[in-house]
Amino acid sequence: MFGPSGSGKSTTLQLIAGIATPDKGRVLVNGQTLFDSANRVNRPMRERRIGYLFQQLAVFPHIDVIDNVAFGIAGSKNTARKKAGEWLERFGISELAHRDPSSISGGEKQRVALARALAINPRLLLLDEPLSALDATTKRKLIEEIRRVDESSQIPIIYVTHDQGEAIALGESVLVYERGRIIADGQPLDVFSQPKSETVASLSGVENIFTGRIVEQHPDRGTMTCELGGCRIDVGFAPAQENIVRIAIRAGDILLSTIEPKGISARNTLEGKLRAIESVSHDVHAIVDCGVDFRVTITPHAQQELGLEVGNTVWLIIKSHSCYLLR
Amino acid sequence: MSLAESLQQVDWFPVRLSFEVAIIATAIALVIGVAIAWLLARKNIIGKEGIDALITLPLVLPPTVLGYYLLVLLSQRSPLGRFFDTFGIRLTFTVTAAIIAATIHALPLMVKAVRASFEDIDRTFEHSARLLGSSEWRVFWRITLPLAKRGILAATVLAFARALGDFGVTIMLAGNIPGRTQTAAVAIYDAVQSGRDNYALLLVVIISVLSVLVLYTTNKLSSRRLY
Repeated sequence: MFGPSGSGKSTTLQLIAGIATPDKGRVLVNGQTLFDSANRVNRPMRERRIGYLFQQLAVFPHIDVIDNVAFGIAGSKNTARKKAGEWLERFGISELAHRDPSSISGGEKQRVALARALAINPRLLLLDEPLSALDATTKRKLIEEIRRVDESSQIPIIYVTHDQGEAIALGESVLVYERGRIIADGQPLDVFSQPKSETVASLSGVENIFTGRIVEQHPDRGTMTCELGGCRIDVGFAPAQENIVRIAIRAGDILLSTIEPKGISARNTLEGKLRAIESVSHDVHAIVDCGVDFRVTITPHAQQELGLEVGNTVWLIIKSHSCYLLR
Repeated sequence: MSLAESLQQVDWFPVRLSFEVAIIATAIALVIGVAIAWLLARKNIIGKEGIDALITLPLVLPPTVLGYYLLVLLSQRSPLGRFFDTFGIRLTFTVTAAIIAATIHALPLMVKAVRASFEDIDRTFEHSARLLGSSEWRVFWRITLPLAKRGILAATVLAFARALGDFGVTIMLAGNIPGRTQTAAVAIYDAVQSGRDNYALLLVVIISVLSVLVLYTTNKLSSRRLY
């Protein structure tokens, strides 16, 4: 489940787990009814057998790691501890068994929480942004851990995140949430390559979003011309109810040229001035003023080769298919 | 007369009585207080705010006023008084009365402090425990209570101090019967009234030292954050 904060993803998890009660509706897992407002079914939390990983906390701070993992395991204290020990081994954290939870790292805590949740043999695993409080390296390790769990067990997993990278790395399918509703669903790469909602677009890192006015329509050619207030571009044709539209273009879809392009298939070649150059992780972003500011991604190598400097006149090459309308 | 001999001649009854009453009252307030505090912190029962107001009332009413109400409620002529009379239990002007007075005086503080402790505990812990299959009782006993331990301990110490020091409610309900129901706070009043200044001073010093000890202990307990 993907979407911005406050869009209802965590609430949905809480409703599934029974932490919160829906006003109306049903919750079924593998055909088993956990909640049904029409038939007055509401299985208590302790009967739902759902594993839940919260964003933070939740590892019990007042008992040590092995007792945490053993907490939900039925049987005598010794049996439970033994089984818990096996789980700790599976996650490679046996040496933490008698540690105080306050003395272990965030990544280790989430492993403990994961082991604890799986130890009850849940019918469903719910992960609520479990990696958001962790650094990038720990995140990557835990993503691997979760993948392994997914592959080795048949337990369905619902994973909530606002990070597109996590959604793509882990998701078999993605539900996109906005303001309490599902606005898109499908395979991650499909959903994210041309996101139609502005929220998802900005979350997915689409760097250029403009307001434009449709001035010409060419349905036969599959394009329409929009005035951006400083320049005009041809975008992919889409039936629009209004004249004023929001247009999205990925910075990585724009080509930059230091000489005026001739004989190019792309519909849009815009002349502009290089206003600024920014370093963003492993790439370089060039801000080009063509009447409105475009953000263009190029490699540092390209920047060097072309000898780009602030103040240069450059041309942007944009395919009309790379420009699409947001809802 | 040596110090030891003078100390032997002192009437220690009020101090002993105050202690016994305070310990029993605190124990009762602890059990009832934790139960009520948990209900108020975790459950949404009808009349919740009414119960909260009722519990807070003894904190707000002047002690003698509270004592008066209790006297009327528990006297031998009242329905409650007559009920207990059949078991041979008298609720006014007895040690039992002193215990009741101290308990009612300490209970509101206990409930308020313990409720705050329970409310401080992140519900996520309790949700986790439930999702792991724990019954409500197990959640309370293994998660909620241990996590509130420090707060409950501090509340108990404060409640003890209040139980120890009550004057108004005690004197109304239990009276001022030397050797029977005269607690230390009441004995100090009595001693000053009858000019026994040395005795009064002795009692005052003992109670003061105890109160400082209570303050010190409470500070130590609440300053060390558990998690």
